[in-house]
Amino acid sequence: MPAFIDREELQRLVEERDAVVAEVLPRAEYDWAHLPGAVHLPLRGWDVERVRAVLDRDRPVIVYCDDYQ
Amino acid sequence: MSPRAAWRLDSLGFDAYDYVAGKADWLAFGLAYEGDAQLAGSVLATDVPTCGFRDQLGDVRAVLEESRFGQVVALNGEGIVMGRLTRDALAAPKDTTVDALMREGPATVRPSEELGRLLQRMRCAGIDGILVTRSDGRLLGLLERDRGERAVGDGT
Repeated sequence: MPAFIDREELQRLVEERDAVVAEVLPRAEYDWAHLPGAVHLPLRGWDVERVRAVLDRDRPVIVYCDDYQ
Repeated sequence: MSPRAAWRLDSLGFDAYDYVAGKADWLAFGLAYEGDAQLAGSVLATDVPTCGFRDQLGDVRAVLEESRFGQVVALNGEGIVMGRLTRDALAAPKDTTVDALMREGPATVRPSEELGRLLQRMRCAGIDGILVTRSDGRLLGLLERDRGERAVGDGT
């Protein structure tokens, strides 16, 4: 099951395990501001093939949206 | 939204995590971001002078007199904003503590505030500068309205 993490854990996973960070909000919100290096994987129109193409199964993946939505 | 995405990734066999507090938390903590947003944290003056709130006036007098901001921000040992000392405090005896002289509870904003809207509120309220703190109360700097307006005008 997925783990639910805070900011410090995100930073640790990126630094120590080369985690991929992915924003799941729509394009306009991603373009407005996103975490450094974050990829865009919108939940609306979720595309499994794109997900598999963008993400590396050997690296942890951290998703986020705006806040507790 | 992100919990659903995390579960979908999990079902596809990925080692999935959900940063539950999300972008709002990240930006309110004043961390770096990419994108088009113009946020308060991007145009801060970070050289606003500070002192300890238990310091004595004599220790900070020179800094206060020379501050181009007309103030010194009083912090506790963790860098949390406790108040601000303005030049009207200079008349007090030098052994008076900053704690006794400072204006407590100054208005602060988060670095994640959209710059244009914040500047509009500052104009309406006649405020030339406002302290910017992280979501944990630590000082990041001071947003000067004229500097912010130049940044908005430049699109930088």
